[in-house]
Amino acid sequence: MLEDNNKIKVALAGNPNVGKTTLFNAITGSKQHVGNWPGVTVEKKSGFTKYKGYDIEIVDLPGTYSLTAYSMDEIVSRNFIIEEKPDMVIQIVDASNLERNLYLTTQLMELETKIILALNMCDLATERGDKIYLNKMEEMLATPIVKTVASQEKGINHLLDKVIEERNNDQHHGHEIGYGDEIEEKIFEIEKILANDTEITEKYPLRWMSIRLLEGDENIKDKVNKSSVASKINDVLDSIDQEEYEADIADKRYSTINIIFPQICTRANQVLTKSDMIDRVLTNKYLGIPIFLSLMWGAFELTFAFATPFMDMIEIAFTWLAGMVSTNLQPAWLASLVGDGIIAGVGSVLIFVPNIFILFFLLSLLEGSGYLARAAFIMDRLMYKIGMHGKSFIPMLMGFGCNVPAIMAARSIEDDRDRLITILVVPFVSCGARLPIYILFAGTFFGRQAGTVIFAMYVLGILVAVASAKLFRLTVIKGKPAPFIMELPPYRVPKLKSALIHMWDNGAMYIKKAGTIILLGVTIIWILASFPWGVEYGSESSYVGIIGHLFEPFLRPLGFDWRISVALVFGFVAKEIVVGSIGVLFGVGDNQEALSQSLLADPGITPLNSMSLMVFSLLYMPCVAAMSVIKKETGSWKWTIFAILYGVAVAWIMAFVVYQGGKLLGY
Amino acid sequence: MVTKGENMKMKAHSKMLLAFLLGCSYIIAGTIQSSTGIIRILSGKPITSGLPHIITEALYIPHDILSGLILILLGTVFIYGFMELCQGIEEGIAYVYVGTLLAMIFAGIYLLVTTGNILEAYLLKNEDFIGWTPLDDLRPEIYLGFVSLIAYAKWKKQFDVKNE
Ligand SMILES: Nc1nc2c(ncn2[C@@H]2O[C@H](COP(=O)(O)OP(=O)(O)O)[C@@H](O)[C@H]2O)c(=O)[nH]1
Ligand SMILES: [Mg+2]
Repeated sequence: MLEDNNKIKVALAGNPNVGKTTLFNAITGSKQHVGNWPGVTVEKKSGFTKYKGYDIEIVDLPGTYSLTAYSMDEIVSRNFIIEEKPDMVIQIVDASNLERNLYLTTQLMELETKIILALNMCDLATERGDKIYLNKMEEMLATPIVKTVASQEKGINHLLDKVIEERNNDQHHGHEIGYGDEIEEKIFEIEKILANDTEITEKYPLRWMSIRLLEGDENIKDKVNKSSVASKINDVLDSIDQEEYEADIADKRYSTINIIFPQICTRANQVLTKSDMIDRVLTNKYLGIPIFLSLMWGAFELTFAFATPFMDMIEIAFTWLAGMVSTNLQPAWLASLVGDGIIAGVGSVLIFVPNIFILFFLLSLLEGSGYLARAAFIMDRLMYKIGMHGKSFIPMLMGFGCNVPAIMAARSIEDDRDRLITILVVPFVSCGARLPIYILFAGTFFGRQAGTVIFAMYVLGILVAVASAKLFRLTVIKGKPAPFIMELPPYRVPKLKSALIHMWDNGAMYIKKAGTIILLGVTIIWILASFPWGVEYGSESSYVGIIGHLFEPFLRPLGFDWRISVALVFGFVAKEIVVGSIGVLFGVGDNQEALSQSLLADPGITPLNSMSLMVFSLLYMPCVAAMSVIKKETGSWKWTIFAILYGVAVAWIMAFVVYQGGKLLGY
Repeated sequence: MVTKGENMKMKAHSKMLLAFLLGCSYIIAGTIQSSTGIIRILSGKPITSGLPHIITEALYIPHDILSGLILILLGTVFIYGFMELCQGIEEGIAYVYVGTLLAMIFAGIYLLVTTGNILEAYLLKNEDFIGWTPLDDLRPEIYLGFVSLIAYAKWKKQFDVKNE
């Protein structure tokens, strides 16, 4: 075993005529014939070298343009990589012909081995005036890259240094090509089936195998047909149009290369397209993340500020309606139910429809432009450092809408642990249902700074999600994230129509919820506030008062009185109910006054405890729907209960810090 | 005679100049905006006198930290482009292009906010908006964004290069 410690086995792969054999000879000092490998009949060519105390074995593979199964060369090459499991593969890349060479790179990435790119023929590229941005290339492909000129034996030692460095590096975090939702779903489905066969699981990278099957690779099909999962796999494969998939998959590889290429190389006399220019800036190492944050901030600023006149219009309508009801409806209890209960409660939720519509409209513009997919890529390195999968970023962004589909979207994450972490942290991402709470309180107490306060809530949600992920990685769910699947669609001017549809779908869901579960919730609260028979409506001796006082001791340190406590307890059903119940409980009496005015007038509510309330509502626990989908997706009560308890604990601590800290500072 | 190459160089020069001027303007405006925002928060009251007041009044700069930081970011994008162009990296033009796009996006955001306020003031006759005029909403994001719009319109053709 000791001997093994300084042995490294390296395979050389690459397109034909990129200088593989020349490099092989330069490293091993042998005099192999420089020319193409004439097929399988030839013995495997391998040579040895000693470098810095390591015994390095180099194997020269046949030159191939891809690793599909069209030729025997390709099968030999990939079988060697899969079956003999070299420590790493050096792909020799012709620097003067990068674009074509990258196709093989994308396939090697899928084999899940460590890769080093040797950028050979640099002399030719430089002579021609091409510029290659090495750092950017390393960043985008997530592989180490070394410049070489094999024919002059330049860069060989540097390459060997990298080999040793990589061999001792277990922080490898690869990038792979993403193939779009439809294909990714199939890949995932097949992977799940393949995972049931231990023999396959041990030997092959499952994602790679699934992609090969979808591309109709006969060689792989034969292997699967001999396995225990043959019939299930064939069922899936029979259900799709294989040729179409094959074409789509190849297309996706080429289009990803087309987007990456201009970022890492400028050919002499080549001009940048608009899309290239945009990418150059938006994926910039230093500017990328700040630009992303500022665009999101802009979206929230608009969500708040542009919506106010429309909110005011809705409010005017509801005030008028409430006035009509209280003067015209008999008997008095019915007027109170409709006026104080339903209109005050549902109305206080419906007021936020303009915000919901604007936010979804803006998010779908960002998505439709192709920017959100870039954002996931920009965030990947950061996410990896935190211990999250880059792909988790998409469910987290979806969480801005509603956590339920976001938790389901985590299905697209292959690795079970990556997935579990994502599911557990998504509820911290602030969903649309929480927005009304911020708008109500930030708008009431923070005036012109409201947009910034709301943005801060969203950022806090993300920070808590991310910090929790790190914590889970270090404690309960150890391990490191799987490779990142990058999808870089071309930039497009977003389509107004699809943005409107997206906006309508989500907005309609919100309105529907207001008409169903929230209507029910506020009715129940009204009933609890009106009974036992004869008590003053919404007073401390009503049932609401009793429930509120039950929870108040627990919430008092956070600055919440019994009315807020009730709202929070019922908010567990759906977070809109928090605002709905506040509408029912604070809008008491004078219907002419807007809810925000009653809040301002209430001595129990200050800017500080409204801040604490926003923080607590953001974090405290997933709503019932989110909780049930967590149960469904994790299949475990343990993790579901964990999610609730952890959420409440974090929310309590954060709100405590905000409230008590704020008091100490004199707010 | 001006050769084609020299002509191209002149165009690059005017873009460099623009990137430099816009970059500086955004950074200066952003710095004032953020720092007066900080002063306002630390002192706990609005700034109504002194040099900061005179400057911000004259330049229509609000006192706000975050939006100020975004102005600084926009300025940095332009300066980044300026520096690359100075070093002879032609691709630096990408930063000028994206800088003008971002500048226009943020100008658009604040124009929409103003539109909302116009609705409040003149349609809904909200009491909070008594005495308000649209000019009160003028801010660097809007007027500097307008400069970017002109630059964008002027160079639209050159940004619109097609890949052969
Ligand atoms: N200019 C230049 N030529 C190279 C370089 N590396 C290899 N070559 C030449 O490229 C040709 C193909 O090399 P070979 O090693 O047979 O490529 P293989 O097919 O990948 O094994 C030979 O004529 C080499 O001399 C390099 O870095 N620069
Ligand atoms: Mg050869």
